[in-house]
Order: sequence, then C-alpha cells, then structure tokens
Amino acid sequence: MTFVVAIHPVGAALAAAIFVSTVSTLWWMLHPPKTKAEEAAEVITEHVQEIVSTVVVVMSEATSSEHMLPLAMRIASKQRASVLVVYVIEVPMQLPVNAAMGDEERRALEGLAAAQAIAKKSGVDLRTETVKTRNTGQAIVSIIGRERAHLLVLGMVRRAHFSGNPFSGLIEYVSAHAPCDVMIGVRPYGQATKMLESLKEELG
Amino acid sequence: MPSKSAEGATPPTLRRAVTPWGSYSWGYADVGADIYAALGLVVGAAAGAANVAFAFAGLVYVLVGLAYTELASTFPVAGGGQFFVLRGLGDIWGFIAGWAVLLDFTIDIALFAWTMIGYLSNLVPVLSSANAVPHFIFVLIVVIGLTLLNVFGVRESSRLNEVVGAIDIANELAILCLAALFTFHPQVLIHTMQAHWPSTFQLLNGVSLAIISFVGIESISQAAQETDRPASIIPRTSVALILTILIFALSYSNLVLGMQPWHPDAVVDAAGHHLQVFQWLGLAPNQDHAIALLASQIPYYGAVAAVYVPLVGAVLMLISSNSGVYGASRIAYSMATYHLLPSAFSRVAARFRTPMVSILVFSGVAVIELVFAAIQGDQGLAFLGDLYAFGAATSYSLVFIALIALRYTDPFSPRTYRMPLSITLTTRGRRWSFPVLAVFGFLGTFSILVFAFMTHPIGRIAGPSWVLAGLIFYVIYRRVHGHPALHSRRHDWVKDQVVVLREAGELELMDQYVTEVQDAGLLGNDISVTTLEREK
Repeated sequence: MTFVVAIHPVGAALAAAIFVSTVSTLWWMLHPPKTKAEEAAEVITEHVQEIVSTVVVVMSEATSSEHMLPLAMRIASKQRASVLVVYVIEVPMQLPVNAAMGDEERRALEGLAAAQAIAKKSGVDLRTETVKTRNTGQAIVSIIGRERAHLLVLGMVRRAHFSGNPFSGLIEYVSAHAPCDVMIGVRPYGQATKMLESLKEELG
Repeated sequence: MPSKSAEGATPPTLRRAVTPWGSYSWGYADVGADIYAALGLVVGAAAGAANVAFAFAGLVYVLVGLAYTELASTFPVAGGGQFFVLRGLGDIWGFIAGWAVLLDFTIDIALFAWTMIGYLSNLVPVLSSANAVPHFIFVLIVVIGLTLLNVFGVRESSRLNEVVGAIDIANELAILCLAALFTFHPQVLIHTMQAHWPSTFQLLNGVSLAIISFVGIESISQAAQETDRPASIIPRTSVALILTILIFALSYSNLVLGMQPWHPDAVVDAAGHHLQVFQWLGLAPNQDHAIALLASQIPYYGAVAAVYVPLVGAVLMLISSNSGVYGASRIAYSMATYHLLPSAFSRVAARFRTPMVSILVFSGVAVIELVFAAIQGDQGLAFLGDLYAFGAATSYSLVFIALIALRYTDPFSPRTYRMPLSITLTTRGRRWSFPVLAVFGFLGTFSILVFAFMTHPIGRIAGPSWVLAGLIFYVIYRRVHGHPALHSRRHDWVKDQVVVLREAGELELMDQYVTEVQDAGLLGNDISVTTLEREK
C-alpha cells in the first residue's frame, strides 16, 4: 500500500523556508566585513591593474633588461596588458642617425626574438620596435609619452666590483623623467649571464 | 619558521590558517553529526512532544552558543570552555569544566562509532545493534582504529572536514526540503501532538536527550587559536552554526511528527503493527540510523536516499568520532599546560610526534564506556546519550557562571561580540555590564542537568562518579606537585591576553586593551607588547 503524493501548501512553504534560511545563513557567514588591511589591498590591486595596462620593456647597450622579460610578461599576462619591447640603439654623433650599425642591429634582433619567444610562451600580445637615437634616455621618455605606457621595465646587471652609484646615468635620467611607474631589476652579473646563456641555447 | 637557536628562540605557535568555512565545518563536524544520533532517541522518549523537547533544548543551545561566541572571540585560545571557566572562576572549577568536557569527548568517540555502524547497518543488516556481538566488535574496531591512527599521527585534513561538511549540508537540505514538500501535512502534526503527548517524566527525559543534538559548539572554540582574525570570524561562524543546527533540529522534529510514510507497509514494529513514522524511528533498533530511515520514506527521492544517506551519515559519524579522539587530547593538553592535569598529558611522544598518553588514556575511557553501553543491550545508545547530556549540561552551566564572572573581573578585554541584553551595574564602586541572558542560559542548562538526574537512572550515578573520581585525582596530583589543591595558582592574565591578541593579528584590539589596562595600572607603561610571552 502506498499513499498518493499530495503537496500541501504548508509543506511547500516549509520547504522553501528551510532552504532560504539555511542558504542565507551560510551566505552571510561566508561574507564577513573586510578589514582595513583587506580594503587597502583591494585598492592597491585595482591601482596595479591601472598601472600595467601597457607595459614597455626597454633593451639597449646601456641596459640589460633580458632577465626582466619573463617577469614583465608574467605581469602583463595576469593583467591582460599589452607589451611593447623596444631596442634602443644609440648612434654616435660621428655617424648619421640612420647609419647601419651591424653588430648592434644583430643584437637587437636577437633580443627582440627572445622577447617574442617569451611572450609566446606567456600568451602575451607583444609588439617590438627598434629605435635609433642620439640619446637613449630621451628616446625612452619620448616612447613612453607616445605609447601612453603605464609601466616601464628596465634591467641592470650588477658587476662584481663597482664603486659609486650602481645605477647608470641612463637609469637615473629615465627614473626622473618617465611619466609612468618605472620598475628596475638589478641582477648579479653571474646570474644574469647564466640566464642569458640558457636563453640563447633555448633559442638555438 | 621560528628560529631554533637556543637563545632568544621564538616559541613555535599555531599557524592561523582556518578560514570562515573551515571554522564552521570544524564545528559542524561535531554538532552536525549530533542530530543523526539524537533524533531517534528523542522521538523515542518524548513521542508527540519531540518538537517541543527540541525547541526547549534549542533555546538553551542558542544561549550557550551566544555565550561561547562572546568568550571565544574575546579569548581566542585553544581550550574552549575549560579555559573560560579556569579564567573566570579559578583552577578547580576550570578542572571540573574541562573534566566534564573530556567526558563528552570520550562519549563522542564511543557514541559516533556506535551510530556509524548503525548507519552502515542500513546497508549491511548484520551490523545492526540487534546483533549484539558483531555490532560491538565492529564499533570496537572503529574506536581502536581511530585511536591508532591518531597515535601514529595520521589525521584527516581539515579539507576533508570542509568537503564532508558541505556534502552533508546539501544532503540534509535535500532530505528536509523534499520531506517537507512531499510528505508533510500540518493536520498529521497536530493530530500526532494531541494523540501522543507524553507524560511529564517522558517530556523531561526527551528534553535532556535533545540537548545532545546541540553539543559541540565547543569545537569552534577549540579551533579559535588557529582561526584567521578570530575576533571577527568566530562570532559569524558560531552564529551561523547555531542557526543552521537549530533550523535542522526543529525541521526534523516537526517533520517526523507530521509526515506520512511513502511505504506504510515498511513502517511496522517487530510484531508487524503499523506505526507512525516517529514511532518507527523511536524503536530501539532504529534509533541509531533514524535519519537514513526517515530519508527512505520520502517519495521518489527515498529510493536513492536509502543507498547514499547511510554512507554520508557513516562518514560524518566517523569524522565526529575522530574529532572526539583529538578533541580529548587537545583539552587534556590545555589542562596540563595550566597544571590541572599531569604534564604527561601534554607530552608529545618522540617517535610519532603525537600526545600518545592523552590519546591512549581517553580512548581507553571511551572503550570502557562502550563496554558499559554494550551491556545495556538495546538501551546502549540511550546510556551514552545520558552521559553526553550530563557532561554538556555540567560544563555549559559553569561556562555561563564564568561569563558573568569575567564580565566583572575582566572588563578590559575587548569584546567584539557581547551576549545581547546586558544591564550596567555598579558593584564595589566598579561599573560593569551584567549579562541578563547568561542567567537564563544558566537556568536552562542547569534545569537540563536536573532533568538528566531525574530521568536517567544510570546517568545520575555514572556522571557524578566521573566528576568525583576526577576531583580526587586532581587533588592528589596538585598536592603531590606542590600546587594549591583548592585554590588557584597565580596567573598573569593581562600579559597573556596581550599576547593572545597579538598572535591573533587583532592589533587594533590589542592597542585598545593595552591602553585600558595601562590606564588601570594593571600593566606597566614601559613594557614592550611585542616582546611579551605567554605564561609557560
């Protein structure tokens, strides 16, 4: 013998009440008010998203930004930012600005190829550019302005023994004049060369 | 990691990694399992007034929960009720409260191992409590297995607690909502309450058993020291736990009285007489797997539920039984730290890095309780329930008194949550906030204790015997080790509280507390709060 199922309105209301009260209690529990530290962290995170909507990485004879490329790509990948890698070749005053600079241009191609390989691996939308200029610092600041970039990434290699200011005049100039946030990575010489060697090996 | 250098070494502290859901599921693994054991017992005792018994016990439980919420967020340290009573009333009362909680944790081990096998018997009938010998052997295997696992240091991860908690909540919501939708008839509820209203004695018995569905809020306090932002999170998780358990208990008790069985032919007693669902669940052989039987009587869903609800129930029971093993060793550790128990209980075994003495001693107590329960035959579950109710009512009563005492003796500790309904009094020139609800809470828990004495012939002997034996042991231990037996040792609670708040990451509350105790002259102005250490 079985009973015919007849849904009673009170039973239906009771079922709804049980479900709504339990779920809303758990929802309330899982959403505690934020602490001041958490609110601050949220504001900073939003600000960071704004900072890195366009990232420019500068490579040149005076800098060694190769070791900063993976970090820049990772940041760009997470924030869905676009990346521009610029190789700046400084042409001496003794030559016309469009003079052929065989070795430097070769190094520029290699550097930009490495950047493209890293960008591909990180799934980042990358543009590359080679710029010839009389003054690297001014060229960088000019590119930042043109691109309306929000973050400039530069790298330096720290030699075993140096005296005085570890940053070059270029870094100081760019830090002072770039209209955006500047991230500078200084890496010990040994580690930087090791990394570059393995990068070159990977790229064949 | 803290430095391991001998000089200036930082003592290792518990990492605060328990999230709101982790804190909730820690409590749920304990309290959430109770209804699985209590429903059959209470409907068996209180019959048509089972919902009234649950409502009264639930009201008391709400007050208990609010008291624990205030205390655990104010003093977020491991130790729970035992620590609150120690701090509020002194060493000997702290011992009694801790000893009563220890009784509950040992009962936890035995009771939930028993019901775990009960739920599995729904799928494997030979495990039923009606087959006394195989049932006892399997329960014993569960208890011994859990003991050995804890001795060897294999513990379930808190992630398992969280996952099982989520599955069980979904499961119980499905049972309750579908049962209400398809089987509940208010006329049946009214008729059952009128036709099967119990005697006063039965009702009091039911009330004293109903409190066991709400035992375990203690577990959130136990995890307080590991909870992230305890002063902010614990009030939420405690209130949420109180509400969900209350919703479940009241829903089950009303449904069970007002539901029509889907297969009335299955709802019969041993003589083949047709029964109402609540009568069927209240039969002694059915009490230890009542929820699985109830679920099986829900139209359509019951066929599926009959298979998986016993499994979900059994896993939850296993976790709850395990929480009894490590809960007992944690309490014993905390009590030994404050010289309420010998230091052997806080010693970590070199080989397994676990408190082996505590685990073996209290699991041994659980086995003894299990033997006594098995001797009772059909009434074994009720015997364990009696002792459970006694331990809970005793410790909760003391916690309420401690809460009132702490409001007076320690008004400076920042209370991010206070029990509602306080009135400001002036006593010996000191203004303090008197918690009116704590008085009602005490009356509620104490009346349940009285009900337990009146209605449980074994509980009224075994419970006080446990406390008396513990007290004798305590006095001997304190005398042998040169500690005052009836008075308290000296504690520097002010410095202790500064460190507790600092370690909890509640820096704003710590600053507020330090300012107040310095203004009151209880802490020197020259003391650096960053270098203070807790009482050893």
